[in-house]
Amino acid sequence: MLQAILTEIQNAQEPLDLQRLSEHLDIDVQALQGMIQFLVRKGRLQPVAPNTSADTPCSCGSWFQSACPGPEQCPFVYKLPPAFVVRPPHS
Amino acid sequence: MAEYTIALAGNPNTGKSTIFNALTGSNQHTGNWPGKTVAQKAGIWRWENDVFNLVDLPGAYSLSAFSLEEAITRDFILDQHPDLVVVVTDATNLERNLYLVVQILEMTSDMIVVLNMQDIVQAQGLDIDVPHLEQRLGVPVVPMAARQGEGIPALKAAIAQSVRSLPAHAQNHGFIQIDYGADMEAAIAELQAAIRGYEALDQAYPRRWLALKLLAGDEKYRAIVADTPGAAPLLNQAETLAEPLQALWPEELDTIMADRRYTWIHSLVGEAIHQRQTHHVSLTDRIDRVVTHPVGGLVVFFGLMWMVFKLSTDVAAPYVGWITDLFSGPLTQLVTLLLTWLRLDGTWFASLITDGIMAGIGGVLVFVPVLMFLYLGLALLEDSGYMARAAFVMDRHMRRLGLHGKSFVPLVLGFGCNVPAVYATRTLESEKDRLLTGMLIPFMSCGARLPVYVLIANIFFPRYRSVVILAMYMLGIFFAVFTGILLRKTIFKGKADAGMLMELPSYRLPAAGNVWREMWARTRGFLAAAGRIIILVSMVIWFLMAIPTRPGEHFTQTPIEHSAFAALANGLTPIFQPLGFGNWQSSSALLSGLVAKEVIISTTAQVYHLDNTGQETPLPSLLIVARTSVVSFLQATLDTVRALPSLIGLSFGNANNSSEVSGLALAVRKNFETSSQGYGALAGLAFMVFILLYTPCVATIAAQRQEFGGRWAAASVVLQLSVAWMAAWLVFQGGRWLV
Repeated sequence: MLQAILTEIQNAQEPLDLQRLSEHLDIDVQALQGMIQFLVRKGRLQPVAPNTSADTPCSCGSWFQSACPGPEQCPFVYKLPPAFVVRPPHS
Repeated sequence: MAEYTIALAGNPNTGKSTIFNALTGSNQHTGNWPGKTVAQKAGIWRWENDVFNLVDLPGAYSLSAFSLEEAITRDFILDQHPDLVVVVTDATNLERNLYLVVQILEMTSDMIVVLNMQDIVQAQGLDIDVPHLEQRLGVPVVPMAARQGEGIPALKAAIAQSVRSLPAHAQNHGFIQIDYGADMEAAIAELQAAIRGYEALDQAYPRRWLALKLLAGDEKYRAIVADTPGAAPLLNQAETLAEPLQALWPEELDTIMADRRYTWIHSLVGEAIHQRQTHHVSLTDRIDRVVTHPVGGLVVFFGLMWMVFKLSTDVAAPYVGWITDLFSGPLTQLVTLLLTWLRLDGTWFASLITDGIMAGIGGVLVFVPVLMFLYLGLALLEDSGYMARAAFVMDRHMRRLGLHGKSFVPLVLGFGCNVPAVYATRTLESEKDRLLTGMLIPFMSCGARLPVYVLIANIFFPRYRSVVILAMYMLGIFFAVFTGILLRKTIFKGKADAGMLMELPSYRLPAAGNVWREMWARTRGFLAAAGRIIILVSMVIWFLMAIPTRPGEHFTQTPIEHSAFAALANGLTPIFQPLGFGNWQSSSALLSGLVAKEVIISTTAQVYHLDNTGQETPLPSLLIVARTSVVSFLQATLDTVRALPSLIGLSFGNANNSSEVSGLALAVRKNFETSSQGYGALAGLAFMVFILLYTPCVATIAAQRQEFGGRWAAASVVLQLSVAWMAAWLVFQGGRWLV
């Protein structure tokens, strides 16, 4: 099943929605979330996050360090859905 | 009287704490797990003269020991040998919860499974075949609804019965046997036989479980075996057995094992759970069929974006008018009054305040409602769950055009601000993909460019301003995609990556609090960043405008056209001549726009140097100023409400006054008409295109330099300036040819 998830994501010609993947593999969405969590912890799925580094300044930070709220609070960073891409095994 | 230790395990949010409280009542105490910061709860209850000590284990999804909670749960079961483990599951989410059950069953069969939340299961029309679950799992299964207090006596009875019927707990043996396949099973059997020869290990751990751990290369248990006197050959044997197995699969062996467990659970759930009612399609699913449709999704996306821009132009217009009137009238009058009172009128300081700072800040402040309404629209889309779909739709089309799937995050962030977007390219592993995405981000139109579009669109295309502004954003996407394809086929040759999985949230009605917080945070962020830089740039520009270049003229006493700033900007004018806006005022705005797009408007307001009518009218009292401001604010609010139906194409009366032509607008229009020899609208459009595509700001260049190096940052600037010039030339010259 884990392999099927990876294969589905890798072979998808367009982004996959968790709901659609759940219907396609006939796996309950929450169970699928558990499997995705496992694959993330194994490093086979990588979350695509808007900002990953704590030292990433935001727009105001690069000019006015004192006013920068930090990457987590940067108001211009839109909230995007959790997204994952496949990473090669043993990397 | 006997005393038993019962461990309570389960996934987070399964109602474990409710059951713990129901079983122990007030007989509980809390502390920390030895040497850990994780809280430990324990309690007791009595049942038919026996004492039951209940230990609440931390919530865990598995026993893979990825987290501290998982390690504590696993170690307690293995090392403390509780008499019974009660695993609480959320019966509405059984497939996910059973993973922990199966993992614990591989360690011990002294277990009871609780199917909690039976009331919700019933409401959802699900039937769970409890006897079948008991038969397949080999342990008692107790259905209950803990929050309603249903099933607690049955659970107590089941626990008492289980512990009393258990044999002496010299050693736990996992009951369940997941079939891991012939190859792996052969290795497990061989290793189990070997473990039997090491008494210390055989006594401490379930044989099959330890064999699985050693085959999977679990660091902790490899170390334990290594520290066991004489057990080194067991490690060698495990490695020898694991090696050919690993060659069979691309995944690590513990992933293969997890895969087999999930498959076993999936099959069990299929047998044990039956849906009484037919599956209904949720509202989210129904909306998504249209919203994420390859074609329909694009139509919805453009339609909603058009509404957002309509909101930030037409609906915001009355407030823009209100701030314009407030700034050019009462506020300027008050500042003049203050300067007169301080005997500073006519001095260079008064000029700095009125012609420099106030002109600069006022020029930008009038557009704050535009940004507030833009951020309001985006916050509504974000909080409703639509923004996630927009990203989904965009990503699909980007990837079809050969761009990296992960590029969508930085590119979408670019609409907010290009700087964090450049840093967000760090999520891309390939250097080529990072560079390519980093080069495209400046084409995404950030929020700071919107006021310029609004100003120019209001001057030249007042009736179609929403469409023109939307077209600017779309043009930015077009250029990003077009340049991306071009670069992908030339400099950054390669293939777009494989797919991506997204968790789209369910739709919901936006919460007023969330929407307000998001809108205000972004507006405040814009004001904080823009305010400081505008003050600084306005002062520099005022200083340059105050320096005379002709003999006989004095500091602050020279016409702007004769100033050092005009001379500097004039040097650039020939570059923009073929684009229709070859005048020093436009050149100066574009020059200051290199610092930040926010200052284009302030510079424009400064260089057109309009006479302030407020200075010529009698100074009103503070009371009159306040009353006029409040009345005009209420009128603006009324006009804004009247303008709302225009979002869906309806119009009720003369809703807004934004098409009234201001002095600044007249001056800009006249100047563009002159420099373009009568093609002012085309020159205005070309000016907007140039602003869309040329270098966003020095902060973005600095971010590109930091991320990709000086050479690539320079290349990016050259690319943006070239593309901007060529596109603006095409618009202006092509337009002239067509008209």
